[in-house]
Amino acid sequence: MIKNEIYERLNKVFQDVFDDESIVVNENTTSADIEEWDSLEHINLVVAVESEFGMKFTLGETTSMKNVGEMVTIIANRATK
Amino acid sequence: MSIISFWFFIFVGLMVAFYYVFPRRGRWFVLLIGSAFFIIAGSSWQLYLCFAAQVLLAYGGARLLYRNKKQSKWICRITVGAELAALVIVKENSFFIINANYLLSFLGKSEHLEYLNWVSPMAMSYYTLMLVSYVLDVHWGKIQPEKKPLRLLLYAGFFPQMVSGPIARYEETADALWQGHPFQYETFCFGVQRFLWGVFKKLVLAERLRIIVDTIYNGGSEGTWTPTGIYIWIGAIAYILQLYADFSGGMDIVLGTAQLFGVTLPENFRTPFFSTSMSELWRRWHITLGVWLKDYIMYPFLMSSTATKFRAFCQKHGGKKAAKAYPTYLGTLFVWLVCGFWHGGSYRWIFWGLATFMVIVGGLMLKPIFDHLKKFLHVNTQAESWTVLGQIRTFLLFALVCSVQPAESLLTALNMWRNSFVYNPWILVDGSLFQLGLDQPDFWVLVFGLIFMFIISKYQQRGSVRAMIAKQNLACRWILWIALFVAILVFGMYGEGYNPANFIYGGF
Repeated sequence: MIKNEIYERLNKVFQDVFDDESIVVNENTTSADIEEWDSLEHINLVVAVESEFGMKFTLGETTSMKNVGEMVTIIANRATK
Repeated sequence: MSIISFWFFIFVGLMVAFYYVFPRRGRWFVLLIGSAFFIIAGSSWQLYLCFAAQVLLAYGGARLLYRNKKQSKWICRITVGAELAALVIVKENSFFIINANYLLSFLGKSEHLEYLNWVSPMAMSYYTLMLVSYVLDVHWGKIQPEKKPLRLLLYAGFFPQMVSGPIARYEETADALWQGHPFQYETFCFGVQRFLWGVFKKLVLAERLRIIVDTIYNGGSEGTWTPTGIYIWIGAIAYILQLYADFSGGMDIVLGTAQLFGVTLPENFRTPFFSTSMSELWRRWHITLGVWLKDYIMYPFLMSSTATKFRAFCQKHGGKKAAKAYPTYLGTLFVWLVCGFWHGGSYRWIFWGLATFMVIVGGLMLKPIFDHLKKFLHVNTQAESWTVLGQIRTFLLFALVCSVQPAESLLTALNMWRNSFVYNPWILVDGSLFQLGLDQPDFWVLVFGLIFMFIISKYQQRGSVRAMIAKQNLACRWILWIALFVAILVFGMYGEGYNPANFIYGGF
């Protein structure tokens, strides 16, 4: 899957989870950049991303992803839809 | 060997001397042998073997699951299950015996099960969680399994953390413990200074607060007095201040001791009483336990197929907001039930966990209403006064919830809550406060000591106080540290015939 397409779909997931249409993510975006992105919202985000791309993150990945760039790399390697 | 005893100071002094005399490559060995000595001296060699067996189980389980990818899930479940079963059976068996006896009475049987009164290995509740985190991290591919069993033994059994944690992660401390550190004057001084600050909190503040708490919760020196009204609030507030001075003081001693060897253990406190909500307070109080519960209970639950089905159910019947909120609430409930049970297998602790859960989730559920109210009343939430109000509210809520902890039973605690509504504010001014076990001089030492701790906490919010002091002139630095040392010598509750109480969190 092309990374640009992943970012486009990911933007929609972020906007939906955090209820903020203005969110645009890039590879360096972290939880520090989005006010509502705390440890609990992180799980809601991960679950929404899994549903969007038809894939599963491992628990190790869930807790060790440092930025959106790392998330995109995992999605690119594993996405089924 | 208590970590505030004379023998502990001698022991640490000898350990430091051996550590830095040994060649750097072998310094881990000093820590390993010293830790084994500390545990055996504090319990017995049989209990040390129990501890070593749990370490060996985690070591073997992690290596096995790493090699057998196909069966790794089951090997992980069996290993983690065995570790947790050992903890529950050894530490909390009385909870099950009590319930079995209730059931027997209910069924009209006259037989009763005898209590086992087992002695558990030192810090079992702490090192078991560390070993579980190690096995799960290997299973989730976050770390590689350890090849050297002695390295795992040192990680789980490093002596300063064998009283009340912190619950360090393998990747945080294993390397630092294994590699020998060169002597660094500044790090060493910081370690001594933190140690001193911890002793001050324990011997000057926590021990005095304990006398007030014991007087109120035990019904006076003869146990015949029933405290009411303001006394109960004083007891509850004194208890959480005691808990903080005791636990964070203990952590200062532990982290300071580790720093003497150049090892940095994870922090357990971040000025928790400046929190403006209960959930924030729990992110700043006993941090390593909170993070453990989040990573190994909350996250696995929220990512499980059960949570996914529950989320879909909530989405269907309550919409998007419900699908986000309710699985989180359910996960929070599990976390607080486990947290309560971890502190002690009794209904009093489970009630405490549930009460904390209700305050946290209640706060989340009522947030939209409060937000509307604040908007309607034009409240300036950026004002300092609003923050302080939130801090006081959180502090009092925390005191209320924790007030069940020192009570003899849940029933006693609930009776105390009932009696807390009696009107008796005059006790604040008629000298009654000096009848709570502390005479006037001791009472004022406590008050000024608490004010001093509060001022230091204010500075801690800006960064390391030791680093701030280190920037001052030589004379100023030495005067400050000598003054702290003298304050401990003069005002500390110690000496012949006086035994400071064990650390509260050492009992969990």
